[in-house]
Amino acid sequence: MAVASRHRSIIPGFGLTLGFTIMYLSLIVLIPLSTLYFKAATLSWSEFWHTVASARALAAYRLSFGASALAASINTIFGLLAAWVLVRYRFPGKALVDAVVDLPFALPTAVAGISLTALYAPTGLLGRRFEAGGIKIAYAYPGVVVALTFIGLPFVVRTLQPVLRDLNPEIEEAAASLGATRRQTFLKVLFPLIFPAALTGFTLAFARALGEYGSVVFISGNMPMRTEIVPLLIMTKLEEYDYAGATALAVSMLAISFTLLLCINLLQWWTRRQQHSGLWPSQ
Amino acid sequence: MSIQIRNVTKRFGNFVALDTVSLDVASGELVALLGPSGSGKTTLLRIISGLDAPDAGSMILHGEDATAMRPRERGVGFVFQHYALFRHMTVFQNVGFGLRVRPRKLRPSKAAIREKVFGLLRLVQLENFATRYPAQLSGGQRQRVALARALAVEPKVLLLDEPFGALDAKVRKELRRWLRRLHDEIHVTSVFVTHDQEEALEVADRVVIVNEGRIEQIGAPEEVYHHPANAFVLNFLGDVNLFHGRIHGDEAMIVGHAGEEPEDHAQHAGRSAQVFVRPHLLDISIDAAGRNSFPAKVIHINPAGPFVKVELADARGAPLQADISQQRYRELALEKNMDVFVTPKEIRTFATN
Amino acid sequence: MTTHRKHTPQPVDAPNAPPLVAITESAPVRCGLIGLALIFLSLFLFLPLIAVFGNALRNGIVPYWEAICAPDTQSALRLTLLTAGVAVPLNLVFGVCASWAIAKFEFPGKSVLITLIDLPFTVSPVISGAIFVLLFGAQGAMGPWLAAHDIKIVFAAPGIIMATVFVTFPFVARELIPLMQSQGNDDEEAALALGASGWQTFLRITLPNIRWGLLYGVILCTARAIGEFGAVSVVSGHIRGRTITTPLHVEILYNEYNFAAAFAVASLLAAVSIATLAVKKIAEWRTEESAVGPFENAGTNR
Repeated sequence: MAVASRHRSIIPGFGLTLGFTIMYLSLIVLIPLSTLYFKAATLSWSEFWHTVASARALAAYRLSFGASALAASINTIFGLLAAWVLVRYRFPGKALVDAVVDLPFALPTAVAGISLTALYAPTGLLGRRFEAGGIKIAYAYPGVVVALTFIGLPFVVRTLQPVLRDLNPEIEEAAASLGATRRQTFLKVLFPLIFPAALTGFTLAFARALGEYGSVVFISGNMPMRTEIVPLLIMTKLEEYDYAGATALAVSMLAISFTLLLCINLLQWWTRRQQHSGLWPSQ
Repeated sequence: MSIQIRNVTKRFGNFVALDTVSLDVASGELVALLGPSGSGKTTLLRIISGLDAPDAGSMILHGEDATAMRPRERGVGFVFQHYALFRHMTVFQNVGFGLRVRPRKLRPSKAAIREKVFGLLRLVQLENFATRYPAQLSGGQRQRVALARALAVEPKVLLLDEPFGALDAKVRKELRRWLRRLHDEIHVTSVFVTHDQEEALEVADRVVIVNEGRIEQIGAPEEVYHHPANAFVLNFLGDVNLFHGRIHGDEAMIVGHAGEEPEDHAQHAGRSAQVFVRPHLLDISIDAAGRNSFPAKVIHINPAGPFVKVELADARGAPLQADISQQRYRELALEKNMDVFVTPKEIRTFATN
Repeated sequence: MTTHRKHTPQPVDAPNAPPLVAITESAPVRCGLIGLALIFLSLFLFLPLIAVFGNALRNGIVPYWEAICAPDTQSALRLTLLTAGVAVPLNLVFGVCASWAIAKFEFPGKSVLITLIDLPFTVSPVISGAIFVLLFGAQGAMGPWLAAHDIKIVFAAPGIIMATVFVTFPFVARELIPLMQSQGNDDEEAALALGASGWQTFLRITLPNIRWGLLYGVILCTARAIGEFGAVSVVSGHIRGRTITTPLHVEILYNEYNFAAAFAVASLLAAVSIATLAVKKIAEWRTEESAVGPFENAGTNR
């Protein structure tokens, strides 16, 4: 089939489906979301700055970004491990494990929140043990990280699995026949190949963790300045009818996460370009 | 002796890939493992390299038992059919990889690696491509990089798995001649796998013909071609016409053709045999040319190429192929559906049990 | 090549792919890695899931049953079903339309449209709820007008439904777009050329081809609609018996230290998510079966 004829396809329904899609998208997503920016535009710079740069907000930002980054890092390391094990090895119960990886996508965050809290609270099954070692998990910083690790877990595993599955075994055999140890093969040959996917997984887990609310509110203890994440602070502002403050925080949060996503997309594009294209300078 | 393989057996599930195979390869030799797909030739190559382990049997590399050695302890270089280049590394980094991953004590200096890599790139005629990535090279260039990479570790044995299999016909021909010249230059013991008999016969010092996990014949190219050990080898090394025949003492006879009454003889005379005639050894004439001639009908003629390829059907309708010269074709003025006689100029007979 | 074309059989793989001796780890390393991965996944996935049911049945089956039959629970379940019942069909219709337009046609701005469809995924649930409060709340853009006409959206069921629709917006479309793009237009064009109408083509050709992806999209959408917490929490106003969905009810019970009841209700939600995972696995198997021929592994000769 010629490329040009795709435009005048004999398949019907283009106008109807595209029209409905755009209308529905505007009504449900674009118009409601734009109110946030219209509302933000009514704020004066000092009003905006006052909220965003307040000590409480700064503490919340630090917690949200720090804990999200930490959780995403944990997920990248253990997600790589889990994906590797699921792709490379056989062991009993593998299909079950593989299915349960998606649990954080399917389990309501509130349920995850209370369940993780019950486990990691000072009286809980796991929390008791940590408490004995002098480590407090629930109602403290580690609790936030635990919840954010839970909800971000599938992203890294699911991004890496297909990449690992598609790796050509000959690449590793070539490295082995050239005298590389398994360690060297992994570090010098495999890791550079899966790095872009790991970075994507990290970004997705990080972005998801930044916005997470349901699972964190139960386990964090919600102490202002200490365990209060940004989404919770927005919630508090809304409950106090401080719509201006909530808007300022929401807009800043969105702006920061969009910028981050953009940066990492650029980084990825750059990595891919370096590896695949014929455009890399040949001196 | 460089490689000694003793009674190696390899199974994959119920499938016997190699069945008690033994093979010796002399130092400096260039040996081809030739066989159809699934014959076990690649498995044999992978067992020599250590990428697969045999279920039974042993292997000696340069007088040392290598059966249990890991690939990196064996001192073999392996060239993969699909190159298996590291796509995130430049040509230079690819070729130097084997040197850079050596334990610190054995690792050459940066300058020494550089010198070595550029020496190899000169050898494979790619010295201007050092900073390119594999994606920026043609198939033939990639395979030369793969070869240089395998040679960089100074292997005692070089193994090549269908090295030209992924290349188009013209590049393949160029590259295999080049490989032959390269081997004459560096003389590293080499084993390569191929399913292309022409490639094996042209490049190798010796050809090992493998079928269904067993070695059918080992010999110099002219030896295996002119003196095939059995029907499989003959069949595999080029196109043949197959006839059923009988052996009477020293004489073989094609059954069902010629003037005789085969049915009478079939009962009691001689042993049953398969008779093979290569297409270029089957002559066509308008009239019978002696007692070996038998009638056939021209089905199709393809005069394009150095030979004229004629498809015929014998009296029973069984297909035959004959390759005749362009001159002979014009002399005979062959046409479709013509009734002619064919005469085997040379036959090869293998008794069937 | 030889003078005659010689038939070369396609490479046929050995029945069982061989273990790749050179490129796997030694058994202790393998076991260590598997063990480490399983410990991590147990701590973060299996234990929390088991803990839900364990805590729910801590006091036995009778209190469990009572918690589920309590009037507040029942009204929460009703509101949740209503919400999902509105949000899922809406997003289903949208998802099919959007994927039809995107997968079957070429038009400028297509990648922008795909990005916009994904937008609700990148927005924090709390912000998703907040935009509806900003739009329809008392101090919101349309607040005075709504008040004048006595229409209640925020802190009422319509707000909850809207927030849910927003949050679950991309699910069906996201499953279907790549699936339909990979299937191409050939089947549909053949059907239309044979005289089928557009609607017949969709029902008899497209729909059977996408049914497992569609089912999975709907299931995911439903699971999220039932379980959404953050966005709904913002617009709900927490009015007992009126604007409490099931996840909010779990929160209330939990905050009242009625842990067994909270986990009892949570176990219903967890059961839904387990069913979701099961359907996903089945859908995966079905699509693999239909997509992969018996010779999937042919092509390597070793």
